[in-house]
Amino acid sequence: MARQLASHLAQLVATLLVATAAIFVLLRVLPGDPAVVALGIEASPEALAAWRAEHGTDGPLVAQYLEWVGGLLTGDLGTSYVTSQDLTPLVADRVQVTGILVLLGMLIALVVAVPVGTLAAVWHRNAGGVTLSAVSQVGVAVPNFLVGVLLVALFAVRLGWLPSGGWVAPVEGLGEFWRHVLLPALALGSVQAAIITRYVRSAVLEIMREDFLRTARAKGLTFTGALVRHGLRNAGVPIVTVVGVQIASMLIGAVVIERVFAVPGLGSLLLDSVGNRDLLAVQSIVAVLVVLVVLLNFLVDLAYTLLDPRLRRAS
Amino acid sequence: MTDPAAVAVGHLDPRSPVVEPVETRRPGVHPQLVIGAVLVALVVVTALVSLVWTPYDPEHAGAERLLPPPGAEHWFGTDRFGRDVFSQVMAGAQITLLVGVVAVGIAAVVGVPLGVLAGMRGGRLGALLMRGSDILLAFPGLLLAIVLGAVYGAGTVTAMVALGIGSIPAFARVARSGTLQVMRSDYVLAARAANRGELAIAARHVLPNIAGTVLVQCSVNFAIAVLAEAGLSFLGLGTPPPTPSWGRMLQESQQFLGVADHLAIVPGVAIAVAVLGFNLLGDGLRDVLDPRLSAVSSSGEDPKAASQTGSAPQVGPAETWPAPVDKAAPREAQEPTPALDVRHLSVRTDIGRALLADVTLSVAPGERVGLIGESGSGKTMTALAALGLLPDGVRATGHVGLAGVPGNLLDRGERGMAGLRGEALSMVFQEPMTALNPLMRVGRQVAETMTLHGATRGTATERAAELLAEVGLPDGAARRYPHELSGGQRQRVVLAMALANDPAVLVADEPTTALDVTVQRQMLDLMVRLVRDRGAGLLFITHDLAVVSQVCERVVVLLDGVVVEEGPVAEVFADPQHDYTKRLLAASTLEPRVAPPRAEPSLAGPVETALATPIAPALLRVEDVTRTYRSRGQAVHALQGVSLEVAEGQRFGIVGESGSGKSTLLRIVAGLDHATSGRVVSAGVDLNPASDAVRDAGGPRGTRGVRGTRGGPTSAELGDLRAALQLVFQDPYGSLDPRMTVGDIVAEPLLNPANVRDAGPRTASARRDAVREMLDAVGLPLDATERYPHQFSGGQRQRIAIARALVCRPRILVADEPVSALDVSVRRQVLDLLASLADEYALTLLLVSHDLGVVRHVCDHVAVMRDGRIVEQGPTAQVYDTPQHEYTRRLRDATPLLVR
Repeated sequence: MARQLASHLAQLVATLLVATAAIFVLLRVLPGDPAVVALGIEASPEALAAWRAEHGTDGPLVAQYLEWVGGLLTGDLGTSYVTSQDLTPLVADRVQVTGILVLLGMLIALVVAVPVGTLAAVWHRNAGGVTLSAVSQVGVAVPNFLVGVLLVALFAVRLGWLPSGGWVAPVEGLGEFWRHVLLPALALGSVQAAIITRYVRSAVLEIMREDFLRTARAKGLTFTGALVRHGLRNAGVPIVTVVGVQIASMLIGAVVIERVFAVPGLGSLLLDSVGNRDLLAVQSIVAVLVVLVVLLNFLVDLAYTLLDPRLRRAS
Repeated sequence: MTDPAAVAVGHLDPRSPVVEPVETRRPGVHPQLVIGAVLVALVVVTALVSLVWTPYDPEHAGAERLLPPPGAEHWFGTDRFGRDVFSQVMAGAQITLLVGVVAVGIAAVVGVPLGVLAGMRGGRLGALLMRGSDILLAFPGLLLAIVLGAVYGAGTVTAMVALGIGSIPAFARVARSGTLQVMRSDYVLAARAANRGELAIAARHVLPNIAGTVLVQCSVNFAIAVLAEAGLSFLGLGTPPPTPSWGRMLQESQQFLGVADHLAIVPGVAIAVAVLGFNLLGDGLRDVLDPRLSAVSSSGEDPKAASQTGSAPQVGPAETWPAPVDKAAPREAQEPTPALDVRHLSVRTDIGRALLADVTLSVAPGERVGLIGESGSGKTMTALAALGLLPDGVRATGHVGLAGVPGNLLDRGERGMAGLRGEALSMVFQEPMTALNPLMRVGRQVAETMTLHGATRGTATERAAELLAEVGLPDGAARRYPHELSGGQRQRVVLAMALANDPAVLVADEPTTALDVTVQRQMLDLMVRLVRDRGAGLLFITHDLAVVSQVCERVVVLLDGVVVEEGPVAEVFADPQHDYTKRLLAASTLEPRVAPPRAEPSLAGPVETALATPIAPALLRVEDVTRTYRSRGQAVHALQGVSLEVAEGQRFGIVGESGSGKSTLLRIVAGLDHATSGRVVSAGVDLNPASDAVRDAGGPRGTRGVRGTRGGPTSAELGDLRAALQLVFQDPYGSLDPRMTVGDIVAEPLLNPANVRDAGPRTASARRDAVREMLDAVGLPLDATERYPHQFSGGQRQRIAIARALVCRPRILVADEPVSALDVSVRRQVLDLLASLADEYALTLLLVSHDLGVVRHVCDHVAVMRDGRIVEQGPTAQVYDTPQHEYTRRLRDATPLLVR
């Protein structure tokens, strides 16, 4: 078990190193001298040199990379080339917003998807199951920003029940927080619900064909009892992966939803930075997102090992 | 990354007959596929039409009124500039399809070769490729598009490239797992044995077999690309205006929500239709191409179908059957009252296919009844119907009675049956490897049987430990997970569960078929003892007549869902009435081979001394061979000093149970694996052990082991070996490439010129003739060449495999468990065919089997293997009649003998 964890961790570190190096090359090396990007091609050599010294872009690239990664590790994301703001508190703030949105969206998705997907599998031969399956299939095809736009049209514009956008942090007032978070979380969660429903359905269908479920019934469990007591935990193993992968994809997908609802999350910050050509900010935000995605994958692997005794190798 | 599929797929012993799958769906059009194809066609046609015609110019303001709702003039209204929305949606399909095609194209063109390479080469390169794709996985397409947009500017090209790169891992993974599956198959092993190169294997076997899954991935990824493109356009990072794009239309509509909702709805629906279309198409393709589903029509094996080919075994038209007798019919006078009483049981699928017709049988208290039949005969269905465990889409009519339980079990419903199952009526299943919940300790699984029927947790736990001890499991077994136990041990757990509540009747469905012979013997003894102790009735389902003769008192013979004969075992076996029973009995008795003088290497002295030192030159010499490989960091000693010699023309048998190393030895002899040390000379080719690097690159089935270039034989030498030695594999379902015609399969070894002897066929027409001649020799019709493997029964497939092995006229034929996956009645035919072909083509035969009886029937010399060693070898008759080693004796005595 310990050896396994160590090998997982080594892979994690290697992945993170390569991924950050890729980001560095893509955003710091390929676009050219950031000083020129910031000051323009007509800037005097002295001004450029001063800018480079100020932003620490005058050393060798490898040193710059190591310094940047070291900063990431210690929680120092650097200073924006454009606004000269300290990026760390800004990004930390935005991560919270996106994190809340994504987790709430996933919660909504799971609350819907697990029972609906299970029913769709159990009823897969009758009209109810086929209907649930068809609805989820259509749900998967709807882009989340369309759901967002339609939710705004209905609840904000027509009914006027909820605000059409903006953000209020929980500490500033729970009531307002909920009023603002509900629609974006719903937009993000509903499409995920459809996606995860399909995975739950196929996982449960697969489990229903397993021999051990028949054994459980032969012991005296009803079909439903066998499914609940023996099937769902087994079906949970693949579903955990899907949830991990989907949270990762929601982190990125939230970019669009944040745009629809004018939510000041990581995605909006990323898009603004792209708009400003604030490449260091882009570089750091992308790194944060990639690290989160990689960590999620790592946790999924770990969860696997905990859920499935077959993967725990004898020490 | 952990691959869940690798864990989920347990090792299935192909020796166990396939559980008859139930075909409940009418073949024909697949609704998802059709709807998906129609929607995709709609999008494609729209895009094509919009190239030459749209109602209005989508990029220019035309209407007098801005933002009108849908109407006759503008079907979907116009936007804020007065542009026609319908025309814009039509034109928007172009960008959608363009981005999808390019993105999927990039991902497939890069990802598939990477995946195939990783799958075929394995080792470091494969691991490196897959790590790379893992890292790419951290950059989803959308994020990549934003990043690339930041550096190179947003636009259609950036979006396409980013989405394409982002999808490479998905394709690489699908291609790799498909490739790994193909590479593990026996048909690839056969192609290697026929000396086909890696490129030929990739082109002829790997690519055709993974094409389906790659196609599915294309469709699914197309949907993802459409969604992502819409999202990028929505963010203003996609196609720049004025080119119409669905995502940007949606984004622009936001300002007019509540005023002109159609501006959002129309492009939204367009996106959804396209995505839905590609998703449905992908799902439909997956279902249609899924080998598990397409295999349904052919995996039912039936002796009669062997001569018919084509359709699945079928009982016959349902109308011709006698109508079920009234359930309330007076019970025949029968003493004592049966514990289990099945009367006029019929089972049909929802679409009317009959699986069982009017089956009547009973088990008296304490009586042991055997239910005999070959695969597809409906014996499992009988058991499942009695326990109320029939699969979906199958219905039973008739009467099932249980002593002490009023009424018909078939009428009790799931809840009522659950109360009886495990309590009064219990069952042991065929496949111990998958019968237990992998996530639960076995003690709890046994205890659950008791808590379900009223026991308290404490007593149940205590009793479970006692039961596990009673079935012979070591202390502490209760705390084990199923995967920590062997197949035999798991079956003991299942037996403990089934007997936990002292049921009146135990139904055992092929409970020992998947087990080794000696384990089978212990298991049978245990089962009989425990059932007898408890006074329970036993319904014992098996294909093995010998087992029935040892376990049961009465026997019921089932053929195609109909009871053809029943009676006391002694009577039925001594004097069978029905023709089928007679045939089955004849086929089950494998008499020892009468060694003809021809094949004996010694013409001089007594047989024994001659065989100890063969005078005829040894065609195959194995000297003190060991084989050690690493599995999960642990050294596995598959062979530990094996020596044997096979003389030209000899029929040499190797007998052993699972894990004895017999298959490893066979692969080494065939040049498909390397010895760790020792010397192997096979058909004149010296197969030296490979260097460490090659040896450790893979397990016994590792793809690298074959390539032995350092220290091993040269490829020319391997070529010589492969021209001289050919193989027949155990599983006739896995050893033939499902996507090749039988003609192509049999001809494949001829495609390598090195395999063709001087006068052999070198032109296409000569090859065709050679194939026809071979098919004729193995007793297959000549029109078989144009058909596919799934159209043949198991026995016929094994004949095809034999034809493929012999088409190059090898000197040695190596057969690995060639009949263990076949039904009894077919088994004998195939064995006799092998024997007669060995005579006809002057073959040296090396036959590996777990069954001493099979070897005794075919071979004149035998080696008994256990734990990587040969414990005894000599003339078959001598080894069998006067075994010197204790294990040989145990093996012989454990082999069930048909007592007649």
